Amino acid sequence: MSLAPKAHPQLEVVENDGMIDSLVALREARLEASPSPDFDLPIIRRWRHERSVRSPRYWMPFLIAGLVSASLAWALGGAATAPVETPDLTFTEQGAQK
Amino acid sequence: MQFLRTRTTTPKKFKSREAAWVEGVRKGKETAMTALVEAHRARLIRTSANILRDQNEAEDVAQEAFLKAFRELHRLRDDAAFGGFVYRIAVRLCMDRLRSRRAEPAEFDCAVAGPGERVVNRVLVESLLEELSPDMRATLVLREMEQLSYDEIAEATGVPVGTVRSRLHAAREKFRGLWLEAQR
Repeated sequence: MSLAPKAHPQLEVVENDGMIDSLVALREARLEASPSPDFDLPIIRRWRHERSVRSPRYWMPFLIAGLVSASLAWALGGAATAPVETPDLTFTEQGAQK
Repeated sequence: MQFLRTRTTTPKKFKSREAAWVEGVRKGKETAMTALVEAHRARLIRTSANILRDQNEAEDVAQEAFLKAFRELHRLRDDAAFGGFVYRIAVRLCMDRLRSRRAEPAEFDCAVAGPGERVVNRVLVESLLEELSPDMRATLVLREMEQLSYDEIAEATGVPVGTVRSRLHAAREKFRGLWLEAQR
């Protein structure tokens, strides 16, 4: 058995084809952006608004107003189309013969 | 040159606290909501800024991602995984923005004054990234700048790992070609 060290198959000299340089440049251009002081505010406001819109306290007044309007419309419409009683003006046979 | 490594394992203490916050948000607790935002905003903004190369737009995307995550909490299977959930939303919003963005020169924050060469390098990289498709650009940034693993990139972008590999290979090759062209 030979004790000579074998060349590791993965240890190869890689030709500098620009790949490493380009990736190094890319990594160096990494931004360290941090949040602005009022970053959270729009989220909080919007979250509160969306929660209030979903809550019954927000849409209940609209529901009540809608029900009242519908009831009034039904009542007024019913009164307008109610049948008017008219006297019976049909002639009887006896009346016609006289 | 040291790069921040994205944490792939989260301490158990943080996981249970995160799950408690998510539960709090479901119950309408504002303190829980602000705690989640505070815990994850830096990472979301940094990643979005690196993909979009625009600090203001990055903050817009991060805010939109949080609101979308809170609206869609019912889709979250594991409360302790809120961080990954909102991160995925942010990455996909970034990709949507890239797709709909017109070809305009990106504005970036040069407040951190460095050596002149660094600024020139950053300007060049910005312009080269603009030449990549949104998918390739996001994959390349997530791998090279955010140091995510292939699995993490696949999860964040919603594609199989094989697609990540091929996109990354294509993105690196294209970026290298553009870089060499710019050096001439």
